Amino acid sequence: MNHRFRNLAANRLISFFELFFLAPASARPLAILRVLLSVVLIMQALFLSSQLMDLLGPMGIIQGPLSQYLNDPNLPTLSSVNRILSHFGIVESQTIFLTAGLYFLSLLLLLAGYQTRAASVSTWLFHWILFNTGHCAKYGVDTFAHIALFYLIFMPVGKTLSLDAFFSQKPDAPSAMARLSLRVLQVHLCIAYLASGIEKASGPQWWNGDAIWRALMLPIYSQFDMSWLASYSFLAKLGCWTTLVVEIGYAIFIWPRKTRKLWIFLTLGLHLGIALFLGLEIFSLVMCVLTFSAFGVSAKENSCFQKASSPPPTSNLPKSASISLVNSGLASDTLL
Amino acid sequence: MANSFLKKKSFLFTVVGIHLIFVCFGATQLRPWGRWEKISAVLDYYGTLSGANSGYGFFAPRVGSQLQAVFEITDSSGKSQTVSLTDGLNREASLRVRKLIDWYWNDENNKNLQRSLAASWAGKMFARYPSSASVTVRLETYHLPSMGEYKEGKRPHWRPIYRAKFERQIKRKVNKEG
Repeated sequence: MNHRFRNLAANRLISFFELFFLAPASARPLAILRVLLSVVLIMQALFLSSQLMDLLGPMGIIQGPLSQYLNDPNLPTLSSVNRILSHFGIVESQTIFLTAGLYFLSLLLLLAGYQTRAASVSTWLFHWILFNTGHCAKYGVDTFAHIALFYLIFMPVGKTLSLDAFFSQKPDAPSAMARLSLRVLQVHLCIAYLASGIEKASGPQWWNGDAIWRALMLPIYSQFDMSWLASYSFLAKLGCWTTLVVEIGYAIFIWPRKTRKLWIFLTLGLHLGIALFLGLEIFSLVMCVLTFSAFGVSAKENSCFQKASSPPPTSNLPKSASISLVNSGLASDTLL
Repeated sequence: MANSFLKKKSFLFTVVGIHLIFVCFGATQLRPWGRWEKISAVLDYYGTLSGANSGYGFFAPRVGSQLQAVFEITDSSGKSQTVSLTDGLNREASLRVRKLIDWYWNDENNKNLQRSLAASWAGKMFARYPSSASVTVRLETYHLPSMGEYKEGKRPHWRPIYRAKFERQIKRKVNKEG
């Protein structure tokens, strides 16, 4: 009896994991991630284009040998690319413009969804090279952009809302790969927010309101005169506690349907607040894009390129597995 | 058919599971494989190229102070002006330049690195102002009082922590015949 109960529990657990990670889903949230991320990174590239040589060049703010000393020698940088290109008579400044230009072109292709897989690989590679070279000047936005671009290589991000989908005329049939990709992104975001929230909570500044006070008052971030906050310290404390609740609670409350919308709203609000009051616009936009596409877009919707007479969604799961999912009494989007 | 699907599914679960475990280690900044030298190089490289080794401690556990670099440019006639590396930059570029300045703090005991950084910034200023004879680099930290102290009348101020003067070396043409 006990043995049978254990088998039943194990089967239910396996079914749950199958349903959670592999129940067929539309690639639409992933395509929206691709489009929005490309738009934000194109904006960032345009903002930085005028400072390319100062940030990455051998005669920039961190000059030649010092830059090489501070960079990790095992990672690809513009210097290592230039070592190869110098055989063709290309000098370092030309390498910088060439790499940055190819990165920009890759972003445009990624946005359009043309040769999406190749565009994802090249965007990730050029971003990585530029990011390694200018790593002394990097901040949070580069970390999340790098993570997201790496995921785009493997995810079916070109299945819909793309020129590839338009030319192939294939419908965005829900697939197990799209669901698995979406889950990896969702779990990664939960880990990131939870870790960020716990690390904040380990410092007294996030309990007594000092963290918000300092962030708003430091000239590097200050956008408005917020000195009046000193007279209403409870507001700073409230701001800190709310940040902790939103970040730590993200890993829990973003999943249930009843609290998901509220948490998306709170998270987007947090990032828009960071953009408005701390001036971290690009970072905030990237974070908003990640949460919105991972949790705010239904994986049930059909692609805009899907024909009206398209065949019913097909699963990569074999019949036996599909039956076990149905028997578990849970449908993919009613699960959470 | 079902067998190959099971194999593919097991493979995918394993890959995804390992990757997400990496993400957890990155988030906690733990490196339990550090003692195995050969394998750790491979794992670290994977962590870097995938971003799985990233930490997420933004503004955590505390919001620190701010460092600013001020440059006093003096030309050969003795006329001077005060400028900054971020003058005229848009927000995104300015944030990155300030990150470069923050490197002065990254290894406080490495005086050589600190001097090299100051020299590098001064070099940039010499290039921006070709008529300059000297560049004085001044680093200052922002002292921000707590909310209670601010209410009592204390005000934020910049406190100097480093000052160095760099002079342009003029390459003289050696007159071999003379």
